[in-house]
Parts: sequence; structure tokens; C-alpha cells
Amino acid sequence: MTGHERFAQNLPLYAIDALSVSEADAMEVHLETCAACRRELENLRGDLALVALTSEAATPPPRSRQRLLAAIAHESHPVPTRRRMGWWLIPFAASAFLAIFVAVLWRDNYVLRDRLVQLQARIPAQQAEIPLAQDLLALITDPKSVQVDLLAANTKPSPHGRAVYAPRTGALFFMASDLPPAPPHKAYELWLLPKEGTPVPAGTFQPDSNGNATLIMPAIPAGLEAVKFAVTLEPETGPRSPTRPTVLSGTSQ
Amino acid sequence: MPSAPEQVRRTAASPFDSPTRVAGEIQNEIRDPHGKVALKVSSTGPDRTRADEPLITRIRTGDQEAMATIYDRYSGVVYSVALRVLGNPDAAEDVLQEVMLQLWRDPDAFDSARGKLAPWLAIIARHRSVNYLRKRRPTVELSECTIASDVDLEVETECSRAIERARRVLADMPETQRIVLELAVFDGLTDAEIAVRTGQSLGTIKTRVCAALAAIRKAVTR
Repeated sequence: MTGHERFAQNLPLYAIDALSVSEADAMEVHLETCAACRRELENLRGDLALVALTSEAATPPPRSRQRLLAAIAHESHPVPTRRRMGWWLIPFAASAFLAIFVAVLWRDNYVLRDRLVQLQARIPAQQAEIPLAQDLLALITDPKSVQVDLLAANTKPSPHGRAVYAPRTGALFFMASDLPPAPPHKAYELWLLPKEGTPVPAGTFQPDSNGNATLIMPAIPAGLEAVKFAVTLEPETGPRSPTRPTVLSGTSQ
Repeated sequence: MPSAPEQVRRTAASPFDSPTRVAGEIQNEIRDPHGKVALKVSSTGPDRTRADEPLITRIRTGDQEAMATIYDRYSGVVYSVALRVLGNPDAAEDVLQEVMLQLWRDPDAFDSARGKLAPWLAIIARHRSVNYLRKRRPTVELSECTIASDVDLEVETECSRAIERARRVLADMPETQRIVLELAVFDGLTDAEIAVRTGQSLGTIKTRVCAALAAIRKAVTR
């Protein structure tokens, strides 16, 4: 016997409240999903009503009418009640929900399609820029590239660096020149100093034999507003906090 | 089996005959095998329908006269069923007050699209009375009770015929089957309690209840 058949057989007993509490609870769970049993339950209640109506006719005492009228006069208006959603409303509610859901999906789909078209339109230009960016990156990072700093005549070369930073995305490019080699077990480290709070490390580096070094796209939290940049000499390993003296420093323009 | 005490006044023979409508309306009487008046049929029109929905609409606006009309129309139904279950006029009157006040406070609980008012009130009255016997709170909300019937119980003559047929089915039913049905419907016993009371198996009780209700449905829809 299937679960449905077992519930269907118990329906008459459920209709007349003759099932145990646990069986009635199980029946109510089944009724939520079984339209056939709900329809049969309505018919069984019709049968039960007829059985109840076979009761021998009796007239309530006249005082009962006065009692009711006095009670409702005391409650001058029916208490407004929020109507509970019946089973018969479920298909309508489900249809309305689905309609709203589909409308939202259609709108999102439209927005996404529009955005996709915009992005696709940008692809050719970006693809054209890729070789140039790759060449530029290779130029900067190639140790065989010749880097020449042009200074005022008769000026002695001294360590200097240049940082390009985009706070919104956290993208950072740093290039330094004329740095002396770092002492043993030490490395140069770039720091970003926010307006408030502790300095944020942007990565360590060692200059090459010509004193040049670069840091490309180190991991920087997006949205960090740096007001100052600094390079210090730090132990190659260990806790990250800047130690003096500062080798290079610059203020954001 | 509970039965109404003798002091209960029985001016109406069908639960549908309200105190304010009985005089001058009664034309035909149906008597049971013992010669007792079991049903009286109104003569004011074979298909006169009870326009309950406009009254319910008026009750929603707080119209006390509409509620009084509903009481006059159906207090007999509710009281008769409650008295049949409880066998106590005071308790039956309490159930009558409770059911009518519930309808006054929450008229939206009755939806004419989901059944007629008379059987709906009969079911609610029976349910409240059984729970009164069991000393527990109602387990079925008014608004959850949907009733379907092939009989138009809002038409007096059709309803009276259906009740009379149901009575005959019950009278002709094997006694063991009728007792099981009455213990469940009017004494409010569960299947397990009926099994203890009658010494029958749960399966037999289930079968007899199903067969009894099916016989009634078949008789009134033929």
C-alpha cells in the first residue's frame, strides 16, 4: 500500500476527528501536498454534515438569543481579522509569486545582456592594448634593459624611486634606482602610510647590480588611501613594521 | 449515548426550523418509525433559497440585525447538533453562543464559495461540542473548514430530503456499523477508544466508518 493509499483510507476517520493526534498531524502534512485527498476531505465533511444534521431538532431557550445580542452589542463591531490564506488561494499566490519572480529575472537578464554588449564592445580595444602592455612590462622587468636617469648636469646620482598607485583598485607600480645593495639578511621594503593607522607593507625587494628595483602589482587592499610612501631596510624575515632610518620617502600629490 | 433531557423544548422538528419561522410555515411532517416527529418541511416555497451571503456581508460591517437573522435561521442547527453530542442543554447553549460569537467576530471565516452555511455551522458545532467533551481546544480553525456536497443544502426542500434519506440510511444500517459511526460522530471517540469500547479491531472500525459515510453519500446523491 502506498503512502497516499494509507492516508486516503484514514481520511474518513480524520474528517470526524477520530484519528490519534500523531496520525492527524501526519495527515495534515499529507493534505498540504495532496489535492485529491483535500477534495475527498471536503466531500467527507459534506457527508459528516448530513449525519450531524440528522440530530433531533431542538430549540435553544429564548434567553440564548438575548444573550447573543447583548454580547454582540457589547462588541459594537466585529473584530477585524486578517483572513488566513486558504488552500484554494495557494495556486493564485504561487502564480503571482512566479510572475514577479519571472519579471525580476527578465529585468536582471536584460541588464546583464546590456552589460555584456557593452563589455563585448570594449574587447577589441582592450585586445589591441594587450601587446603594448606586455611589451611595456617586459621592458621594465627585463634585467637587460638599460635604465638611465637623467639629472641636472654635475649632479651626483643618489637613490630615488617613483611609485604609481591607484587607491580604488589597490594597483601599485614602484621603480627605484641607484640603490646600494642591502646589507646581509636585509631587504628593502616599500610602505604605504595611510592618514590614520599603521603603515601597510607593499613588499620587499633587492636592487640589481645597477641599483635598480621594481615592484609590480603587490598585494594592497583596495580602497587604501595612502598619504605617504616610504622605503626602509628590514630583516628578510620577521614581523612587518618599518624601522628607521627611512631610505626613501615621498608624499602623495 | 447522550440524549436530550425531556425538559428541552422541541418546537422545531428539523434543525433548520428556527423558532421565529416555525409558526405558519410548517406543512408536512416526516415521522420516524416510532411515530415521533423527525422532520418538518417548510411550505413557503420548494426552492426558496436562503440568501446567507448578503447577511454575512452585512455582519462584516457590524450589522447586528443581520447577525440576529443568522441566529434565527441557524441557531436550531447549531443547538440541535451540540445537544445531540453533549446531551446537556446548558453546555449546548454555551457551544451555540461560542459558534455564533465566532461568526460575528470573524465573518470572513465563512466563505460561501467553499460551502453552505448550514452544513458549515453543523460541522463547526459538532467539532466544538466534541472538543467540549474531550476538554480540549478546537483543532480546526473556522476558516479551514471547506465542505463539498452534491446536495444543495441551502435549498430547504432539497436539504430536508437529504436529511430524511440520511436518517433512513442510518436506521437501516446494521446496528454494529451505526454504533461505530455514532460513537465517532456524536460521542467524539477516537478509533482506538471505539476499539476498546466495542472490542472490534481498528481495521474493522475504519472499514465501518468508511462504509457508513459512503452509504449516506450514495443515498443522498442518487
